[in-house]
Amino acid sequence: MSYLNQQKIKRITPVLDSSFSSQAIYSNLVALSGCTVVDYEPPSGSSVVIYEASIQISWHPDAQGSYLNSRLQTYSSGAWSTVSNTSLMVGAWSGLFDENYYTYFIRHQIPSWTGARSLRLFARSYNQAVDFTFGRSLDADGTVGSGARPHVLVYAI
Amino acid sequence: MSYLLNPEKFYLQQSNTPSRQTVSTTYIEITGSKCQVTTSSTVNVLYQFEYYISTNYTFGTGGAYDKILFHVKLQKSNDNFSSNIVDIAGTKHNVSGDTVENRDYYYTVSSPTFFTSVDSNDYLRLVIRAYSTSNEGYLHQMNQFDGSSPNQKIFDTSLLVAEI
Repeated sequence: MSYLNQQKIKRITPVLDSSFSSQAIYSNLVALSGCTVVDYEPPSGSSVVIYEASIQISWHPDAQGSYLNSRLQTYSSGAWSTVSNTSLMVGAWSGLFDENYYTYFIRHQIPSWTGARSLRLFARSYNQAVDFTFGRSLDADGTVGSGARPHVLVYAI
Repeated sequence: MSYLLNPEKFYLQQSNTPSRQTVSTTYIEITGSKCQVTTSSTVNVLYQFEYYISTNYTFGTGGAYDKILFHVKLQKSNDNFSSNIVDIAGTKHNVSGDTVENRDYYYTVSSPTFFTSVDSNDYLRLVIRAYSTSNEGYLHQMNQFDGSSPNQKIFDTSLLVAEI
């Protein structure tokens, strides 16, 4: 989604990276692909920074369920930290096998800051029974595709 | 897609740490979804609201393994929903997981987006209910995270409204 308003919405920064390949996610915490990482310096006078991500996960390898556990993190003073109230568990688990694909639009609003910081989505599966693949796509001929990369947009207000 | 926005009529609102809401068979206002559009005339607006939906993880009155099936609609009012309450045509929609299987633990973020017309100083809000007591669920809060349960987390809502 794009908002063309340079006067009020400031420093619109998309993450443009065509090198994405899908990423199997298990129950250990990992950064969600380089395509979710962005270095951002809010313009002076900003009060809020918006981080928007459109993502896809697929059932593979666990057909019975997929649970993405993600959170937004910022990097400053030499360490990554999780932004409060950005934890998110999405997906489904059922009694039978479902080979589901899910697309999500996620928007996080966080207070602005001074200087440059990195932002990223950090994630894992809930447990080993609900592992999934981030950005895995399936082509029309039934083969695994080149990947549905996350589309990330950051701006300030 | 592009929106040519009036810079003076852009509105962003966040509900910080909203309390969990139970979605049952009566319409309720979704916390953080209400706003007033302060204009001097009738205008068109973009309304987009992001909120979190969880299965009924306490397996309460709806019984175990509730399967979410929600009805959602956008309403407007000229008196802050005191007596004037209007369902906006074309905004009714549903959110559900798999309602056929005998169990479906379903969690999602919903981000409905609408374009609609509002009159001077109208209020807008989203309301939600479950189809039946077997389809109840929760908003804003999850009970499981990072392999632990209970491990309750809150997801802040986000409302964006812009005059277009």
